[in-house]
Amino acid sequence: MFNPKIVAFCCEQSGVPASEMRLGEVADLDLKSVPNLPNLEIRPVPCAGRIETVHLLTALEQGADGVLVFACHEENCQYRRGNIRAKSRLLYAGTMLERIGMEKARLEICNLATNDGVKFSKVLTEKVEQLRKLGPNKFSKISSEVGKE
Amino acid sequence: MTQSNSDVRGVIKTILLKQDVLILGGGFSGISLAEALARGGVDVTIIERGSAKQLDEITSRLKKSENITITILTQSELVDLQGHFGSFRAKVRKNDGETVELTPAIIVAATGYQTLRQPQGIPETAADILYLPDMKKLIDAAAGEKLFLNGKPLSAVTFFLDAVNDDIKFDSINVLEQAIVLGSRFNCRVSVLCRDLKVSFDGGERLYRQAREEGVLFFKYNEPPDFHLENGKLSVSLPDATFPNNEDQKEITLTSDVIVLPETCLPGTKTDQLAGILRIPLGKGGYFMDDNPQFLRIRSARRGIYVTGACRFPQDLTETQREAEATAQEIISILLPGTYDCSPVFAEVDTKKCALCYTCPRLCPHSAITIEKYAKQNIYRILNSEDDSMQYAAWVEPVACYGCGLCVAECPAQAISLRGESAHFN
Repeated sequence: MFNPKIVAFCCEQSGVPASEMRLGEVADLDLKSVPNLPNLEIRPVPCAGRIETVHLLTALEQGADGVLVFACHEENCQYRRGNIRAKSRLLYAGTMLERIGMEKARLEICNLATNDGVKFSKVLTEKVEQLRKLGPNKFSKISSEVGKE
Repeated sequence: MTQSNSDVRGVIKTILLKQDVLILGGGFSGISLAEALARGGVDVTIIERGSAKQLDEITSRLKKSENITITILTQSELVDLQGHFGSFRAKVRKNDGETVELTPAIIVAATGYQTLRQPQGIPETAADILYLPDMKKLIDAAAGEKLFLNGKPLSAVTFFLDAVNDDIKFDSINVLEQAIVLGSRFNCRVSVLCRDLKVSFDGGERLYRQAREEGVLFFKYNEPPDFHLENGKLSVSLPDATFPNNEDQKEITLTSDVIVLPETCLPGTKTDQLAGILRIPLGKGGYFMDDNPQFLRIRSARRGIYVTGACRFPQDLTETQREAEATAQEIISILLPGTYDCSPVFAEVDTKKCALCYTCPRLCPHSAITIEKYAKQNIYRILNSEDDSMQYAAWVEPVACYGCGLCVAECPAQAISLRGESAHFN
């Protein structure tokens, strides 16, 4: 079965603690399809607002099939509007993907709280299923071929 | 926990801290805080817009009690603030036009709140309207079994809550306390109209139960009730919201001798102006606090600036007292070592790339970025120019920076980098 590679940018205020909880929570959820996502890469960021559009695009370019941003709930950002900035950058990156003919569903932002390990797992499972339907990221291959030349 | 600052090199900046605190506002919270700080061995300066009379009593008590040094500047206000945590430069203007410059390490805003009396949706018959503090005075002054207002005995009193203030607990405290006294001592029929009764304070549930036992009637309303004059008396009609279905809700009409209203609480005058000087954001309703669970109660968005007391949110005096103590503890614990080590993760500006677009000073949530003339070691010149005068560029103050990286992501010239950030972002 196709195991999509997911890059998850996690805010250190919420996403990182939630991702650490995930391992404890998986047992309670029926997550047989993703027992331990071997292709999950967690990238901690001090705030979701640190993520630039180019980070999202390079992640896809370098072979990720999907990119997730785990940020704090809106209006709960410790740095006031970092999560909203991240959201708008993600939307902008999405329009760029559409322009080159790529599904913008590969990019997603998820707002969660520090103790939301369950939501973290759920979102990941849904993402894996969605990416299985979408299939592998064709554009990353192109870029790797370009890189070889 | 995984940290993004896996790659930390170089010397962490350490600053010296003076044991010097500036408190804005000499109200209850300002004075309590000053007392607690002075006992902890911190030099305190209070500046107060009002006159000395209001402070005289409290300060004389303080001076007598112990060997405490508190400087009080009355009839003066903060007009300008430069610098960062540890080395603020505050300009204080006195009433006579004289300007003093203070250099505190920490600034606390304790400016309090103000109240207004504005009846909302109630016909103007001043005789029938009382405010909570007046009612308290009336009760305190009363002797005997009956309460008299303008010579007439009071037998039915209605409290009308939640129309002007939202979510302010001391309104509920005052209403419950007064309702119990009115019911038990003066034999009045007491009704309380409210959206939601807030009993989340010490002994709140007990007070509420006691009020119910005394026969106080509580009516919940969703839509503002209708006030009208009936036989010269102010009466109010509202649907009985104890029934969940609208069809079952019969209309109730209450005629009372007096309607008691809470005073409208508003942020203190010039709060917005002060926020501009301190460069901290204002929250909902114009108070000094955002409704954000990530923020600690007394800390503002800027390091070294604290907000305490009712300028954060109108609150009960016991709560204010506790908050002042908490602030004092926080400040003493940060000042006690005498030095402060900056976080190893902070943003740095490449002065050669900075185009002075002013994006970062505007977006920085901690007001850590200013436009500075660079000193000798960081000279920024226009390319190929003969003129070797120094240029301006953005400067992130490491003491004030929290390392969130917002400016790094937003800088159009990519002139800012986060020191100590891991490799996958480079």
